[in-house]
Amino acid sequence: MKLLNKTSLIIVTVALFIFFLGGIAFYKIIQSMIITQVDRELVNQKHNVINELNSFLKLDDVFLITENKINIKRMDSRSHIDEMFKDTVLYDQREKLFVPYRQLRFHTIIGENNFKFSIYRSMLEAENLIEQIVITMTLMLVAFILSMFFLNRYFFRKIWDDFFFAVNKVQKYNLRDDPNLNLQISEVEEFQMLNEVFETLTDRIHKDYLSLKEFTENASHEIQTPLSIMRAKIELLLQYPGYKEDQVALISSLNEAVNRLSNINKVLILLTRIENNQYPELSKVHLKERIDYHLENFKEVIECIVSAKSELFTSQI
Amino acid sequence: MKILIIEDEMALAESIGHYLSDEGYLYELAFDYSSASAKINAYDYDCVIVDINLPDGNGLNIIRELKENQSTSGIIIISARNSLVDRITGLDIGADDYLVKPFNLSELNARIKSVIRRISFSGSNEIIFNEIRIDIDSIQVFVHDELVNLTKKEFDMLIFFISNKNRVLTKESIGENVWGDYADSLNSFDFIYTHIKNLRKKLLDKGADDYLQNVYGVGYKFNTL
Repeated sequence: MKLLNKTSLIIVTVALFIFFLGGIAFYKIIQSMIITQVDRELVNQKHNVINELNSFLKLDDVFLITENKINIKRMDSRSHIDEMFKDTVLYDQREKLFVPYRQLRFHTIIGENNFKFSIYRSMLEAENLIEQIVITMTLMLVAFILSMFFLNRYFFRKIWDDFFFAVNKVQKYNLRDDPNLNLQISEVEEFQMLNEVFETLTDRIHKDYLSLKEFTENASHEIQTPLSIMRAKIELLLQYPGYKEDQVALISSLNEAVNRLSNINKVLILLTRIENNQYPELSKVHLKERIDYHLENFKEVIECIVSAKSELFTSQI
Repeated sequence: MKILIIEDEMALAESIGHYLSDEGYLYELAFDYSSASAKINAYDYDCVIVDINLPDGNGLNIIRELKENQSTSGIIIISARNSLVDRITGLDIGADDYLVKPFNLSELNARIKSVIRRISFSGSNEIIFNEIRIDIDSIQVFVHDELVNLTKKEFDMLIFFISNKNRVLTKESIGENVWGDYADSLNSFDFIYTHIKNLRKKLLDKGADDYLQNVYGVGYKFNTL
């Protein structure tokens, strides 16, 4: 997985998780704030109602206009209810739907009668408000996550540009063509560090390559002369008459070893020569002619091998 | 026949001398450029074997000197260098052959003989040995004046053998002589056995003596003794 995709995925996952939890918390907080506010209002109203009813009894000046529904029931004088808040729904005849209400229940004695009071405060607007806030917030968060995602992608390419440049250079690095990597200087400290590491590395590789090349060249050329001497001496040795069979075998295996060594050496020299671009000319070759020529040249060798194999085959049968 | 060996590696020069003296050649050694130059100016040689890399000069200049003196000696370059350019330069300025180190003494011997033959018999180029007559130009072999039908490889082999009479020739040196540079890629020279067998049979059929001997485990010998 690409680094970019990985970071993007992590960012999006974490953001979604945090925003989900945050959203729930936010919703709850707003809700409880509104409820506290509504409750305080209801308590205010309760005092108002009690005051107003008391003054009504005394026929003092009375205001009793309220936007909230108030239900007043006469109760048994001994019964008692605790003052409590409650969430409930009432059926709205006009809108023909259930509307959420916050209800405050309490009782009080006005005059000589015990009354049960229920004040209903509509929560419809509050709910709407919360809904609006949540939708707005969600939209903003989605926009935020999306912009994070795309900005991350955009800046990733910009910032990692030097890195990809270096990787590309290293990938195309060829010791023979150009020993230098020619990297750009990066503003990012880490990438600059990486560039320097790459450069010291290729520098060292190049030096090793040169010394190895030089060594192979020198070694293979220096080995040739002693090899010639060995070959010549073995050949002279072979010319003495009167060897026993085991003595000839010794010289023969010596001869084989020297031959093998000189073949290895020839191959080494050929390789260094190719490395040194001593065969820079490329030309088109008529492959069939070449193959025919070599087939002709080695005809006897091939025939011999084939006949030896068939002899072996028949002898096995 | 007098041969000058110019080679700075004494051990190698002496080995070459040793081999050639067994062939009945007189030889002289020169280990550096100055003594070689002095020798070629003082004496005439039938063949000069020259190494290109000398401690105090370039062997190619020896060849140039020889050509300036209008010498008729055959010239064979022996060199550790095997590039086409070196070969062409060497042959261009008048060398007759170019042999890359490490080489077989038998190969060098065969080349010397070939060079001397070319120089001394400018007309008919023939090798005559007892009942065998080899016409090199027309690639024909006669035994008791009767034509022997040899393949090119068998023909090359016969010349190599006759150039190195009574010598033990390794399978490798025979292989390298006949198949040239391409013999490098062969890791076994056992196939030579078949060719020698055929060559021997063809010669015997025409009534030649049995000269070709197997030297157990090493190679073959053209025995005339």
